[in-house]
Amino acid sequence: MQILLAGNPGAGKSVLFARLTGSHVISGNYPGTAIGFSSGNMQVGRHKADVIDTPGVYSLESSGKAGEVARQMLRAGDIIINVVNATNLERDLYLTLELLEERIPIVVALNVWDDARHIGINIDLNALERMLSVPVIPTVATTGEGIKDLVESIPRALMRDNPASSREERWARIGDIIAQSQQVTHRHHTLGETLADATVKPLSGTLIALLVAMTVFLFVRYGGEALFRFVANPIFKTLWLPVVSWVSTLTGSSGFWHDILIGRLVNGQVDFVESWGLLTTALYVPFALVLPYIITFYFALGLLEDTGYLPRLAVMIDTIMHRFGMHGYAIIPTILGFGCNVPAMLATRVLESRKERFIAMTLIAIAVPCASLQALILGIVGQHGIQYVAIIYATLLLAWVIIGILLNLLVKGFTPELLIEIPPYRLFPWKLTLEKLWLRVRGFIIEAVPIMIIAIPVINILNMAGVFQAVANFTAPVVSGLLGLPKDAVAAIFVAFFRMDAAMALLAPLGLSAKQLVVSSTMLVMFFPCIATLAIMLREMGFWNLLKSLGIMILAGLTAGALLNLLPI
Amino acid sequence: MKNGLITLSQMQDGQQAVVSSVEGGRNLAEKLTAMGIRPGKLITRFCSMYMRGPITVRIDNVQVSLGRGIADKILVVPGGVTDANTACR
Ligand SMILES: Nc1nc2c(ncn2[C@@H]2O[C@H](COP(=O)(O)OP(=O)(O)OP(=O)(O)O)[C@@H](O)[C@H]2O)c(=O)[nH]1
Ligand SMILES: [Mg+2]
Repeated sequence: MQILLAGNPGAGKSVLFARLTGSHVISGNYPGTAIGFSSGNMQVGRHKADVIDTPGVYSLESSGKAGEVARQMLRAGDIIINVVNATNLERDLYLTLELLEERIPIVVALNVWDDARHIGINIDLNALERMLSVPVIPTVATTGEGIKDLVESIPRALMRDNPASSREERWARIGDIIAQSQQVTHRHHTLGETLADATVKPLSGTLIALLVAMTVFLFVRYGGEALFRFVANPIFKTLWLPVVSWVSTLTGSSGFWHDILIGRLVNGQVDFVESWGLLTTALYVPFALVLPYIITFYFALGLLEDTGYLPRLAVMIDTIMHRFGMHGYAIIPTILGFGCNVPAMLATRVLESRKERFIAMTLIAIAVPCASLQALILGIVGQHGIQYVAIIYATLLLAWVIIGILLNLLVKGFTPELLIEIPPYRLFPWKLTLEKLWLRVRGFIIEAVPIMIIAIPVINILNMAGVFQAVANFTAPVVSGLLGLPKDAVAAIFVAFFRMDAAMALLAPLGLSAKQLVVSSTMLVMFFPCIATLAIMLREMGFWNLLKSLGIMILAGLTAGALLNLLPI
Repeated sequence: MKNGLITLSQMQDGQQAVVSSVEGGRNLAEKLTAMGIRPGKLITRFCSMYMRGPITVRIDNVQVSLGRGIADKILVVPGGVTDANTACR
């Protein structure tokens, strides 16, 4: 049996899905978080049922991808749980009426019941149930209230198969239903709402946006550093180092196996960054150098997502984004990109036009470094002074602006206007935020660590076989001539294709000057995406657009690298 | 504009109005309807961004932000200015 969760954006389908199945999907307090489907299963009476979380739609007639997908999905389901936001009953019922015209059994989950009570919306459940003639169960997905009743009501789901009606008829019907089942008591503006309003007013909103950006940056930067210094690094240095040293002596301090497991000794010592072995670099880079920043970044992002701040930010920045051929909502994928470019590319699906998506994806690939790469930039370049890190970020920002303006002029197509719903703020969604953080951290470990473990020995072997040296000689004119880097640095570009962080680690033993580090890390960010990002871009924009996008990246990377090399840094 | 209708762009921040119609294509009208902006609904223009940036409006319990180009196409019957709380300062 297939149970579909269907409803308007932000009605609470994903949270409800997590409740019903016990499995987790990433949700967030802004429209368009779920772009694909997630499925899980649950127990209904004695039967096992598949539950499918779908992207929110306002209407089955919606144009665009979301509507199309929703219509397809409907045909696959056996039962629909129509998730209705009780605070937006009138609007959400439109989809409900559409669903009632389909040949499929339905129960209605009247969600966000808690908020409805708080803001003085009284809904007469009996009247509503009578008028819709399907079970209506009040629920609070976030706390679990009503979930049991909902599950028990599933076998009572009813198929109405009402005759198809016109829009006007549906709205008229909704008017009747609302008149008979809903009462709204008027209430005054609370302090919380006044504060909430301040975030979309021009002056206060701009100041708050700047403040939020700065706080997030400082939190990620210093929080990450603290986790590294006081937790991750001590664990490696005091607990893991003795083990590794023991293995090193055991394998005779050199030779093939030693080089694979431990790597090269630096001044007779194991060096977790530079040794480049399975037990050293392959573990130290993801767990000690990157993980602390992944944790702090995704914690901050989770709070921004779950409180509902992001769509407000989109409003504040809309005018600026239009200069780059996108509307304000494009800021959300861009921010996601600072964690990992892959979900960021997927998130550009909320942008409607092809022009917008092309620009957004290209700019993310060029100018938005993922958390892994940033962690290594902070760690390695930061040792020479924070001003060098600042130069890298300033260059990226400049590239984002310049390339954005150019693409807006050059890319054909149109940029639609902003049209988004601003969800209510949700304060302190701690549990959700922490669960999501765990999901993302786990995702990072599952993805990054195996690649590191495969890539490091492979790179080692290629290195031993002299492949990189041969390539280095070939590319020396560009790498040394144009960019002022030692010719061996080219290996990093290849490695970056697999893991950006590993590429930075590869630069560490080359003894680069601060300026060379600035040039090479800027190149790593801009020049070419990693393989996972490349694959997703291919799928999302198609082969020819990808070629164009790559051309822009390579050109931009080389230009930025060459210019930085000319600067007296 | 004829018959005392004005566009949402011409409204003041903090002003209320009743939506009359949406010009410019079924597609837009459909999207707006889905979000709760449809003829007959009371709409409050809450706030607008600098430099012809997006306008945020309220209908029932929903807040929607929309670009000026869209606001130009929403015709309304203007009403009075509501309490200072909703004004955009
Ligand atoms: N107060 C309250 N908040 C809820 C409830 N259910 C969900 N939320 C919050 O509403 C927001 C949206 O929830 P989601 O589950 O992501 O909504 P969705 O329907 O999956 O949204 P899309 O995937 O965008 O269509 C989140 O911030 C939730 O925490 C509820 O019953 N009460
Ligand atoms: Mg969802």
